[in-house]
Amino acid sequence: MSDSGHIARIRPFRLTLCLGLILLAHVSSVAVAEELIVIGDVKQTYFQSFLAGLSDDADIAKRYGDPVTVDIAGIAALEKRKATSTIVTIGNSAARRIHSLNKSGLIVHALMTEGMLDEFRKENACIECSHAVLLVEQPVERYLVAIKAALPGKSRLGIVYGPQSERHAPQMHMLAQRYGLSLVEKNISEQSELRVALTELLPQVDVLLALPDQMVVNSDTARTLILDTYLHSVALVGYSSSMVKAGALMAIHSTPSQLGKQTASLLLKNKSDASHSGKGYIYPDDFDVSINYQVARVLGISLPDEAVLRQAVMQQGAQ
Amino acid sequence: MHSGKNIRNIVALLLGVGGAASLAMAAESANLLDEQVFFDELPVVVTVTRLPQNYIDVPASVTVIDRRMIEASGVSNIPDLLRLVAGFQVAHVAGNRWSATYHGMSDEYARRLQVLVDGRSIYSPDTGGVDWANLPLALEDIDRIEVLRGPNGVTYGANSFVGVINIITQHPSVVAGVFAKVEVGEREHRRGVLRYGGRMGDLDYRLTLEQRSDDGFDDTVDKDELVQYRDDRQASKVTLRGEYRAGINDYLSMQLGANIAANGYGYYDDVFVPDAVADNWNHYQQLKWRHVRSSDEEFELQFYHNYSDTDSAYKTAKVSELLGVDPVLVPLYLGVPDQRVDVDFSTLAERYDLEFQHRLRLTPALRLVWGAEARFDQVISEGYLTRMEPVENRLYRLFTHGEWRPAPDWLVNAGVMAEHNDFVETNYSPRLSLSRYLNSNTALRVSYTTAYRTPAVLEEYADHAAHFELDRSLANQEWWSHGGLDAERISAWELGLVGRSDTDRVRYDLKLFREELRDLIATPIDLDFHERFSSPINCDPEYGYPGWCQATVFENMSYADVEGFEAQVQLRPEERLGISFGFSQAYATGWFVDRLNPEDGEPAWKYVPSTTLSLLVDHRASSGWETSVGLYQVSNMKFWAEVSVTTMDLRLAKRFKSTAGEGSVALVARDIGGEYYDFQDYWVVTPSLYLMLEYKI
Repeated sequence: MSDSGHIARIRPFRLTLCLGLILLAHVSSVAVAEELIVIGDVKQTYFQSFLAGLSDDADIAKRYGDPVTVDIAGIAALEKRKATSTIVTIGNSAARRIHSLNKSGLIVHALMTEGMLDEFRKENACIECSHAVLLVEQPVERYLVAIKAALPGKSRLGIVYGPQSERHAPQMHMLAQRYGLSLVEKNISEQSELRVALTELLPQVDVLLALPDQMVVNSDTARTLILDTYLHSVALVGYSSSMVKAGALMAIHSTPSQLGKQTASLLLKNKSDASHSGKGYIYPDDFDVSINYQVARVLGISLPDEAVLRQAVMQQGAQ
Repeated sequence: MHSGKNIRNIVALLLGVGGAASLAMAAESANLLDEQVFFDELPVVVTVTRLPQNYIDVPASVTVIDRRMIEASGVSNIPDLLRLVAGFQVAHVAGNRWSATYHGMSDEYARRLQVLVDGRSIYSPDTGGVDWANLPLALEDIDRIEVLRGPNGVTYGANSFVGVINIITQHPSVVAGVFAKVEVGEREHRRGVLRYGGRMGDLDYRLTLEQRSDDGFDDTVDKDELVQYRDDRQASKVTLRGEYRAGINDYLSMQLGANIAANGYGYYDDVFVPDAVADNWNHYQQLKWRHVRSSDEEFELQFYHNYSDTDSAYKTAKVSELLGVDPVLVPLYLGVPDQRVDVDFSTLAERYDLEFQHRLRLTPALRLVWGAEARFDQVISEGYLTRMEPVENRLYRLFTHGEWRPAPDWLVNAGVMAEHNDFVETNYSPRLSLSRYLNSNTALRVSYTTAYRTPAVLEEYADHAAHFELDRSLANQEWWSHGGLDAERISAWELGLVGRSDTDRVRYDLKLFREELRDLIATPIDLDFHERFSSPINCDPEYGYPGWCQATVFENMSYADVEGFEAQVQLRPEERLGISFGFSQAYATGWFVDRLNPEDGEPAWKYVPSTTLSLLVDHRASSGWETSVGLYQVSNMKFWAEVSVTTMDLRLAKRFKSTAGEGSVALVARDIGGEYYDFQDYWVVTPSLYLMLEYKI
């Protein structure tokens, strides 16, 4: 008998074995891939950006493959989905709708607001007790850290509270004291009161912090806020990049992509380690600092590069 | 039955509770912050000037009169505010007319200033001056006035010769609600303002009505003769401004305004210029579209139309009364029957203007504004021009201005305007300015600029004459221009120091300046004027009336060099206390021709006050009481007469609030330093008291 004959007998077997192993591996991967469903308002740009940030994570792709996106309007169909699906909701409405379906399994509620958490609590539903919650808001302390880092010579801080932001008042008092800022506050219960509040407040402050509040900051009030602070040479600090584009001096904000990446980390940690602040929900880890340098120049304020300031805020916040 | 009633009660209770719960949930939902708020776009807000700049970066001296200063001054007329600007002089030509000028060198038609209201140029094409009395604009609608002291032809074109006054009115959203004001004062002064500001969807609007009247100055005595000049006025004004946000970054601004006025002039019981009334009807329309691409780029397109129609004519007494001779001698002297003489000042002036502007940031260190403008001016005045067909002037402009930061401590401003019009063809106005930052709040500035002033229609085409009423033949030539005048020219150098405190409670602008003014259009009286005469009037001084053969003519014959020092300081040591100080020291050389045949004149220094000073101090107590003092001084200068002014205004006011709104009552005492004249020596300004009451809901 010759060697070529031996080889000829073994090759088909090895080939079959290799093919079988490959097939087995493929079937295994298909069999262990979990379903990830992302629910929200799919028409919104922030939804798509969030999804991109979430999907960018290689481990997420390996574990879940391509996420399934479900619009809020079609959420009822989820009742027929298997209970083991992993669900990510984007925004308050999606969180509420999923909560009403009483789904079990791994759920991460992303881009929720603190106000929505309060709503659940009022209904005796501790949503953060059983699911991970990633808030869209920055911790208010981060704004003060940024103000101290960017505007060290300005110690008079003003805030106009509306009904959605007045909840932060007690914490603001404490933080202002900690950071050596004198605080001047006004409350409004109607949008028409904003102008009077600004007229009274702005002469007394160096910085106006605009907290997320749809009565205080919206497309109607933006002009008043930005022009009045400009005319009083008061620095306006906000919570979104669009505020800076509109004319605010500076903003601290997290992009949807950054929030998507952080959600990916939550999913991979399997939610058991969800507590960052000890309250059952977590704030964004990553954020950007946006600066309007033209406004800074007009106000006579010299500010460093955005990346430098962001680093300074991160370091001071970690202390 | 009991169970049925119970069931109904239970159902009613449940419905009530359910309804209340629904309302409560709706209220809570309204208070619930939505995540979309963090990602919504907001409209980009643009800031003040043509190229928004830090106060320290502006390549010219700027004085800002803000709303607080306007209220503290206690004035009732817009030109009186300009006394607060360093280097400005404001004269009362009569009780119903003003002449406002910078560094003197003016007459009753101050025509070397560009004046804008929300970007609309309001100087009259016929005289080149501003008809302040007939301006459809209420003082209460002004947000602030930015005055650029010095030539600014590079940015605002012809007529921006010695300076630019930029009046910015209040945005409708800022004055929402109802506002009413009433003023009463001496000399039958009555003024009422009613304004409503509202909103319809994305449209903010304000409608303002003003009605005013007064008797003008008191009668005075000149050379032992009582002078009873008629300078009363009545005016009704209406303005409408609408601001519409057409898209997230598109703004449409619409303005309409109209004024109907009757302004008295002439002298009671006078044979030459009897008392008469000039009726004025003027209106304007303005449309502006602004598109903001980003905080670094925006476009603006503006169109406006100004229209002014003044009907003003009178007849003198008969020639025999004018000459003081027996009527039968008039044909002997003048070759015409004894008759009255017609004098006509009626004028219709119109302006159409289209302007485009593009502002952008090319690099982090370079910003640019460029634009183009086309304008059509038209004047019809048989009285001033002795022609029925209109005089037209077409103007075209291209302009550009850049701000470049080659290094953190240096700033270069450079620009040029090319302007062509039918009167003087093409001129180029450049500017170059270099600023060196001594620190973040202080800069040293050196600048050079050139500007031109195109002759006004009256200067280029004047043919103003009095005519005999019977056959319309020429009685006397008042004004005459042979045409072909050159543009006036100014070159200016400045060395300035501008700065502010860290808290922005102190702002100062100091400068040394030198201005060279050439080819100034003089208005000398030609003592032997024959050019227009073809009538049988005998100009021989032995037989004729000397005044018949004289006329005011227009010639590029005067010149001046003005140099000096200027300071504008504004302080707010605390929020309740405001201090504004303006000071100018100027020295002039040169020559102003005021006679021809033979030629004669006066040195330029007579027309430029050596010292101009203003001080406004206002205090607002927490109790609501407000007090302010305004001090104004102008050293010797010549308008029609040599004048020197020191005067003071006081204002005492009390603010109050009620459940419906808030208001104030104020007592204003003006010119309490005593009588003075600031234009002609028999038009005297006297102390006066005013009471003002305003309320807004």
